Amino acid sequence: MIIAIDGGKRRISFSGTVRGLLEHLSLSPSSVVVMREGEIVTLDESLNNDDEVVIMSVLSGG
Amino acid sequence: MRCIHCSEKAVFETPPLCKSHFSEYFERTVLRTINDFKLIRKGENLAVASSGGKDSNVLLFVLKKLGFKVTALAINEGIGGYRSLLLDSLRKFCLQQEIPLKIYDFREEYGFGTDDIAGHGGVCRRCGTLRRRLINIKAASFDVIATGHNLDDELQSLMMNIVKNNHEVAARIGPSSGVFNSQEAARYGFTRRVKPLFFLSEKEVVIYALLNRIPMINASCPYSSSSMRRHLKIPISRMEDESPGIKRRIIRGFMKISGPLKKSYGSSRPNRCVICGQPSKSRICSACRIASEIEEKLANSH
Repeated sequence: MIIAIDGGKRRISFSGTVRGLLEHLSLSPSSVVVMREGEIVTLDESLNNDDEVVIMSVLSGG
Repeated sequence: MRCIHCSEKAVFETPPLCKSHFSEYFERTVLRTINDFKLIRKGENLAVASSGGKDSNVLLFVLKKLGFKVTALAINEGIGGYRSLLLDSLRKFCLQQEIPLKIYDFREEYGFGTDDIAGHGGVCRRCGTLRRRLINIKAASFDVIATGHNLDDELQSLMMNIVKNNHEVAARIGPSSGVFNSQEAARYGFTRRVKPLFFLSEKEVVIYALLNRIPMINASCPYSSSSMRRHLKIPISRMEDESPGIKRRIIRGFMKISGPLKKSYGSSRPNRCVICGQPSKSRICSACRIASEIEEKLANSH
């Protein structure tokens, strides 16, 4: 799976739900929005190892 | 997960809502906040304090969509490589949305920018106070100043003010803000300050921005890394993960006690700063005190 996060991309091996991915990455679900193919995905959705996902932080830095 | 109103795929969990029902919910919440707290009256001229960030862009978009007459007021406080990015994006967004935009510059108005005062301590407090004062002055011809503060901002402010023992300031937290409440502001000729996004979380603002193609620039203020507000964001998010809806419950719970709390501090006597004429609790407002301290420090360092 390719993950785009914080302006960078990385490859990890993962299959499971969006919630599981965030747990795996130690990210708070309330602080991010996850997208696949440009569409927002909810925490219960399944992700495959060949998916490309974008994880966007919602916490402003200002 | 499916939308609770239709069979479409959900884009939001609490409650499950699809794209169109989420946008509807978001806009309804803004309108309800405006109506319940009498924030804006029909036909009033609104100045939206705009940073070029997601919150004020969303506020401009949603208020215009709801039929309000909005003008974007922005401040260039002189933070190199940060504000210029946001202001470029704001110019394009306002042009595209046909929203009038006015930009004012710290260096022209005060003679220094935020980069010039870095290293003198308390940058965020000083910069924020001076920005607020400049917006107040430039929005004097408008009926209302609307700001993009969301639920997370307000909860962070509440916790910060309690931790710092600023209970009187904490008591003023609400959809209608400023030194004076709406009625007092109107009575004494000050421009009211309102927060139509008060009950919407930062995550809801981001989802609305994504669904409506509202620009979000990924830029962080270089001075915010050490601020207490920044340190509170992650623990508050973790709290929300453990107990969905807790942020809104805390703020709503606080709103029930803030009225009596405000009264316990007595009615605020409306003063004007003797230097700038802006609302102030004391003879000289904190912005004027800060500006003169900075001018003195900069003069001594040359």
